[in-house]
Amino acid sequence: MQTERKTFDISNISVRFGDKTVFRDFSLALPKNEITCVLGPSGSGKTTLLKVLSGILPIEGFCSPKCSFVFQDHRLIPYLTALDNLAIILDGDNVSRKERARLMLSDMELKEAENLYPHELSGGMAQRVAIARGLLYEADILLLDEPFKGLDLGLQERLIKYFGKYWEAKRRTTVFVTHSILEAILVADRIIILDKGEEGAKVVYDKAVTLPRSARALGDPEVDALRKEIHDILVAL
Amino acid sequence: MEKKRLIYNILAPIAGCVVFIAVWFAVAAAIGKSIILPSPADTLISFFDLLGQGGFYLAVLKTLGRTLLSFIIAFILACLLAFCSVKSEFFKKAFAPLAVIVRVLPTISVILLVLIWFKSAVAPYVITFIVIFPMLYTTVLDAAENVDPNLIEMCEAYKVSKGRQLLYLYIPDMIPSVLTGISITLSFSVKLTIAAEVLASTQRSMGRYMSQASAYIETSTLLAWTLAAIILGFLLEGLVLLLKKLLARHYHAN
Repeated sequence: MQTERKTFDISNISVRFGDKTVFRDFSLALPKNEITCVLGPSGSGKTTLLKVLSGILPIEGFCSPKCSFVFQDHRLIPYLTALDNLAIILDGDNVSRKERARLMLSDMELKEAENLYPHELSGGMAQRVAIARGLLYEADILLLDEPFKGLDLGLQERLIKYFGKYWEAKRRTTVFVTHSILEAILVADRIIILDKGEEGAKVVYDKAVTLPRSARALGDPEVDALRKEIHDILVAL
Repeated sequence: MEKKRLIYNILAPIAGCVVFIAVWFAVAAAIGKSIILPSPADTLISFFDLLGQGGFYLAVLKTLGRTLLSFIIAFILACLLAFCSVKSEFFKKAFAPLAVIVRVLPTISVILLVLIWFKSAVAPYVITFIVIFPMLYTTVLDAAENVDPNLIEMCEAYKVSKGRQLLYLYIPDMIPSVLTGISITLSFSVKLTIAAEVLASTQRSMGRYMSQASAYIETSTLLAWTLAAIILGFLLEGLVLLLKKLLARHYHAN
């Protein structure tokens, strides 16, 4: 018997910025409790898709689910410590909010950053705090907009590892926008490519990644083949 | 480095004051008539005379009270209207012409009109309020509009309550520029209140005493009152700047 795959559906959304049509009657089904990676050229509507989903960009006829959002930059409030930057997004009394925030920082190996202000954190640490904030927030969908962009390769790898580890614990429906093919292959359950067009963005590639995450690495024939396949499509756009 | 700081922060201002007082001494000596320009020494003597009079303290306190009350009312209203402008583009556009008119209104027109419409006891409050309100409104609105839009977007995405946004993002972000604006506006308010008191001949006021000194050509007394007004403005500006430093430290601004 075939089991029905649960999805969060985006149906027939349309977004225009002045003369530019970003989406026209665009639909997408996001598999629940999976990571959907979105690739595509600049201006193809990747970030707009996240903004629509989160409700930052409200559009008629679309009811935004509760989302947590990890941005390209850390967006930590400069007047709050790392701990308070996490606690501010939580509900409940002051003590329990701080307790949950403290636990999350500790889980992310950021205990030493607890009482530091954003300007006292390194770029990598600040981004880790931002990821911790995204994971801590009880939301239906987790959105990530190139969260590792601009970080050095070693740090990127470590952050992907941290992210993967804590994502597995909760397995939340996730949309992960990136420009990096390898990053997408390492984290995704499914990869889609968006392309811009006169009539708005459309999905030009949609593929499930079935290889177990732990087995994915550069040099693996399946990973390398997928990387080449996606590369060729992106180059052709 | 420490030596350079000492030169720039302490010695340079002292040198400036010494040169100013020396020039004042020289010009007063050249004129030779203290009724026209008393020397700094004569002015200081008159100032210490004033300090011995009970009326001096009452006048200073009354003038300070008028300044602060007008200022506080103007500031609260400026905050409320700036908040409305941030929340509603329609309100901002609708209020803009009025704000501009009040801002460019000649101060002397405000003073003369207010003197016709209000009693002399109330006039200083109204004049100070009308003149400084648009300055404070612009300061608060600019500060609110300059809060990092990315952080506001983050707060919206995570559904951070408006109260928390105000307390932990807007207020700390706005404090430096608002307090800088306040320090300038507050010392300006002292000048305005005194000018209004002079023209309205308000009872128990620095302005009234200055007006009397001018009428009796007691130039050294007039300068002594001026010195008192300078000290008052200086103290208020200093207090606000001190508050700004303390709050910056409190919020660990980078």
